[in-house]
Amino acid sequence: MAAGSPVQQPGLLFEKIEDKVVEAQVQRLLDAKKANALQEQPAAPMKEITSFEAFSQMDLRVVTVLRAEKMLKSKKLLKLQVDTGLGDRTVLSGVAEHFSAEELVGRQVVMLLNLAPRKMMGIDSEGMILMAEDKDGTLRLLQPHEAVAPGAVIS
Amino acid sequence: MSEKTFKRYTITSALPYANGPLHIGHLAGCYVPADTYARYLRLRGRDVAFVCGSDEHGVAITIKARKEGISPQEVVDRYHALMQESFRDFGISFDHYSRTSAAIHHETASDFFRDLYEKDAFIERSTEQYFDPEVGQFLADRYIEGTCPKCGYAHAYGDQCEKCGSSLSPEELIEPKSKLSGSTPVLKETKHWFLDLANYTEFLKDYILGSHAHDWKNNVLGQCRSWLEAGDGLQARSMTRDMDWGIPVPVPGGEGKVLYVWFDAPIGYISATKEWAALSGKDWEPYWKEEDTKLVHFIGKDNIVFHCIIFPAILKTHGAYILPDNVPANEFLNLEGEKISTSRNWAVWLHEYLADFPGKQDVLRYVLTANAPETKDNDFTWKDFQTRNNAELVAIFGNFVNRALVLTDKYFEGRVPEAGTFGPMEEELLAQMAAFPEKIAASIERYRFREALSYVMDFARMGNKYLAETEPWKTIKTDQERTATILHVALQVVAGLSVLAKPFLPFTAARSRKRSG
Repeated sequence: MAAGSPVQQPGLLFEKIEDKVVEAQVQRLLDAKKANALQEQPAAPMKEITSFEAFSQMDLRVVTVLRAEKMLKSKKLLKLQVDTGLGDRTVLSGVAEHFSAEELVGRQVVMLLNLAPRKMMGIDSEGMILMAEDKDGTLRLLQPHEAVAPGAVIS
Repeated sequence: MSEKTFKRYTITSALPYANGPLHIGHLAGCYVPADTYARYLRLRGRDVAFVCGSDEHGVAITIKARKEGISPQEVVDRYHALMQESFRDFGISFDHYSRTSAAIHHETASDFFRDLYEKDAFIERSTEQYFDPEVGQFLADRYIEGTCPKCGYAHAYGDQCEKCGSSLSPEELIEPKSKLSGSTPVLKETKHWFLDLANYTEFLKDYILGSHAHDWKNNVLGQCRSWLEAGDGLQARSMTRDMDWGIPVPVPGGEGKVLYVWFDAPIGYISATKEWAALSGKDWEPYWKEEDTKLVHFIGKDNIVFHCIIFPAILKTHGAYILPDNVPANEFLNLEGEKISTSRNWAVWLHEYLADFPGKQDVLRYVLTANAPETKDNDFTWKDFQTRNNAELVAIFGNFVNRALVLTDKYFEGRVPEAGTFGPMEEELLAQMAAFPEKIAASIERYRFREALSYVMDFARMGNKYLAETEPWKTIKTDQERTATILHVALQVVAGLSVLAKPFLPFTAARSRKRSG
């Protein structure tokens, strides 16, 4: 560089990289690892062989959710009012962490109708709503692919 | 180092396989080092052809196409475009980037095969291979899956078990299944053309272990030695496959068969050079046929056998071509302690890096060179990336250049001041500086890019130390002339640094040039 010649304008050639920026990159890798682990986890093993008679004793129906509300003192429970085609029933369902009350109203879901009633938090729950649990523990509703009359028998 | 002087350089980087995007392992393995080398040679005014292209044949592409329900052509078109963009984004300065589906490549590879065929270099051999009776197709390597006989993994491929790393042949798999139909394949006779590598043992021993025992990297020599000195010697390798995606076998009886992807891929370097020469009005032949051309293949360690054993055997048989002068293969780069894996998404993808760190290509290039897997597998960690950026690029390189410029701006209106008398400090600094270009050049010419880059940083450190010790911000209050001398000298270091760093940090160099306009 000869004396008298102009030099370049100063300016930062490199900028500092903050902790949170590289932490986000590491997190992305950890997320990928978690997704892989779930992918590789086999489905739950098969239960013991059952008989057709035992299966026939289960009264499985499609029901329509009429109302749903959050139980005040519970994180997990929703109180559902469902139309079973044989009259309305109250069912408590442990899905509050997966669905809001609004999401469920009007939907058709699968229910075990003849499960013995059980008292929970002072309320009789008269049946059980069935859901599919994904590998990561999230719950998915089971719905008929087109609407059916409430009380339709599943067999 | 060889005593030979070369008139021109043909530099290649391994053809990336067009079935996925590029990640940092690719860049560190053979693209950043080759680019640094090419940029260095051009800076010295050498005649360089730096070529590469997408590898678009092979079984993995047809499997991917089938899985996604699209044609193999659609697969390679997508990834060819994406890879080409990534190379451009990261400043990999190929003189030409081609693809093996190009007509000129089909022609070049076919001619090679025909030439070797006419020279009786192949053994025609009928073997029994797995055939899917449902689909009516022979099943090349990866079209077969079964239980690994070594570790019991249920999804081992016909050529390799990804769980335990054993290399396999399809007949070894327990309960083999066709990946096309899921049916059990049957053995059926088929004819192929084999290159009998055993015939080349003496030639290869002489070429590699004799001529290049002292200028090839130890990791490369070690692998070659294990092939050449193996108890049962080199085996005949089939140079054709039963498939319909690839370059048709151009000799009688070749119907329904294509060239083995590793027969045609290295010839892709020649095709790319031809294409480049045609586009730029040059003659391609001296770059491949003249003894005063230096041919250098940059690759990852998984490609050593193809570039050091099979390709030289092909070139030798043809007879009109020079042989690689060096094959500076790198080992593997791991990521946060684990092997990089495309299918498991354990990778830093180049297009994602650029979205997250816009304008920071040089930071990645710097880290991948400073931590390059030149002699052994190395680990990329984000912590190390951050440290090298903050403690080296920012605190040493950037800080020094910026200080010198800011002070010149402030005290001398942005013009290089006239130097007064040099003291012992200046004399020593200038004497040390003078030795650096040769030192760095010698490391680069021996493919020691980490070492070369560490010298560049030493140079910046010297400048930093000089400013810290001479303290021009203090001398300005009492001695204008002394301050002028200090900044004059510091600016000489800045100028030297910008030239020395250019092959490694091309974006930073370009930015500096723009500013000085």
